[in-house]
Amino acid sequence: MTVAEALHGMPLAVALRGVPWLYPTIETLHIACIALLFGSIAVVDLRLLGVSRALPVRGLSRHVLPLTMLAFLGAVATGSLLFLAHAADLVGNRVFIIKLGLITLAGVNAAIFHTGPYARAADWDTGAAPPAAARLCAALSLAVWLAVIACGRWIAYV
Amino acid sequence: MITLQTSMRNLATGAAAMALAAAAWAHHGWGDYDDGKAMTLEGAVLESTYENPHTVIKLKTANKTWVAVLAPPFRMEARGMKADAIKVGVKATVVGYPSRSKPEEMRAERITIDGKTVELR
Repeated sequence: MTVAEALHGMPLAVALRGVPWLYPTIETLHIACIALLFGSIAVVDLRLLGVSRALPVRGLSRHVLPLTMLAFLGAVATGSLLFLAHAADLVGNRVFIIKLGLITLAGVNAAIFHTGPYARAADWDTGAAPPAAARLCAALSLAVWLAVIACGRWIAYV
Repeated sequence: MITLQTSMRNLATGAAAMALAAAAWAHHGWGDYDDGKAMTLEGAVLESTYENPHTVIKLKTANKTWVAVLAPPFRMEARGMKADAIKVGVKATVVGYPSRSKPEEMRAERITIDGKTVELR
């Protein structure tokens, strides 16, 4: 028995495919997490691009980041269940592989931002133009997360 | 004792179920199906995968075996066609459209079993 067949036969995987209301429920929760994830990221990224400069960057980040992390963990948890239901098909789906790569890229970009421009955010916290590096990270973040959403939907069409 | 034949057969059954499931997992719209070529298929159900996100059956018609993509189980149940109605061996009539990319696949608009017709869209 291959790993794919073992996953396919797991009682949880069977239930996800077979219980009529379960799969759409997990999909609903996955979308809710994506909405909170992308929405909270967009609010911060727009600020980093120079919108609403009266808002303190560090105060906004401290308020929003826990929501972003919560939404990310929720999206990973629900996404893992959706993956489990159809693991054998998804491991061979190139759009799914691209999606995982883009999520990794988004994480690396966020890490670069937090150790780079954000570490000196006291200098441009309120009322100042964000540095070019911060703007670049924010633009990349918006683009990559949008691409992640696009891949998520596109998985079913290839 | 499990013989080699039994385990081979189990493996083949598992592989067939997974191949059918491969058509079922993609939760998508009607865009890949050619609604200019509406078709009616009549035949016996060879396999039935009553699973999310789409129920899928393999239908043996006079000259070809088709993979017909039906509706999600929740909608099928709500409209009165539960899993036990689409058993292997029953005769089914399916109206739908052929896939533009997969020559053996079609998306069903409605299905009739034992005189009961269920709209799938």
